[in-house]
Amino acid sequence: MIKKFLFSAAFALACNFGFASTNADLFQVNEEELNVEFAQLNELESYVNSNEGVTMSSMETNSPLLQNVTTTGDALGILSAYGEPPLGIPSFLWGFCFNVAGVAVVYFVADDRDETKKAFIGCAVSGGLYLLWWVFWVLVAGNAFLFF
Amino acid sequence: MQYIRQIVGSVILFLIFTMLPNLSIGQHRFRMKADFSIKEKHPDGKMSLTMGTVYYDRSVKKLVYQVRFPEKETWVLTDTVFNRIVNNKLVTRQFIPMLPSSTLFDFALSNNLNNFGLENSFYKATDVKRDADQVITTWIPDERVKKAFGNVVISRKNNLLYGIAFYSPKDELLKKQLFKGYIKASGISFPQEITEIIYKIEANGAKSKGTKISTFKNLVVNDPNENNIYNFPVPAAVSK
Repeated sequence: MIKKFLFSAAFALACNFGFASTNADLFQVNEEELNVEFAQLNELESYVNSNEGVTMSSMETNSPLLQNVTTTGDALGILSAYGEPPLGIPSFLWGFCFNVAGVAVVYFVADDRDETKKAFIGCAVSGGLYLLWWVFWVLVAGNAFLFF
Repeated sequence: MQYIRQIVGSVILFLIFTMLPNLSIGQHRFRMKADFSIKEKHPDGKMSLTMGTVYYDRSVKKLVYQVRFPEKETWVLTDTVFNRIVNNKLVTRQFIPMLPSSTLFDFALSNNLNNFGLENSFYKATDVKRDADQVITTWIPDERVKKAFGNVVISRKNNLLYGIAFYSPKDELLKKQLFKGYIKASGISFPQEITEIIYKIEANGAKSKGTKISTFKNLVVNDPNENNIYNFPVPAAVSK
């Protein structure tokens, strides 16, 4: 269930807005236009393939191949392109925010021992923090009347 | 004679049926690797190129990118955690609620790529149409989450995933991906090229788009070697 939610939730974060259509033309792209747009990167790719071990820092900074090329790729963007974009509720937070109920939710719907363990850790951390807070306010600060 | 033939036939059938589960286990695909190249063109005109090898193992649930360009580094995605390792030192660790088991690599290994794994989600297929050589299926989200999620349209050609488009709840196209030129290894098919177009509306209302082209080659499935990469040991703490 949680996995389903994570999967479904992923699509909500496919950021920003565009234009709508729903026929086969939707999946057509102008290949020639793409080839022109990516000509420089295609050339750079060929250069990297033919020069084993070359990195951007080992290339001359004024190389025409590196014009407008940024030094770092967008790692998270790349990861998101092949799966779910970032969104969801980790099991730890289920346990941390909803305590035993959160652990129960994860246990019954995730059907995953590791996920349940994370929810339990979240629950334990949350309980520990509450205990520390209680000890401070009641035993140290003497505000026991707040609890009665 | 006919009696003996019937007995032999029964024995053969029995052996076939008892062997089938073993054969299917033998074809279990649990890991893959491929060389990748990702070319990006951003709306502001900036570009980037990332090249290397990607490794994915379903049993250890790790997605590992050995990047060789622009600089040598390793990215490891485990359950909701992204790690960036440079020179054997962990330089970045951050939360990314993305599961390696919900990526193209897992879908391909589990033969679930045709529907982008939507069969196991809150989406359900509604409208199915044939348009030229494409079979286009519209997936709609469950009623309970319709305010947050839009439709997803999937196109298949020759029963292979050809395109996927994501819409907002207001039916605005957010992004689309095209999958072309499948490569095959050990019975799985994986797209050789993925073109992704992301549509954006800038703060001033102007529309723009970013394009990303990913290519994959040298696909290897169930390689028993390189365990140290498939199960990459991530350093315990971020180096200062």
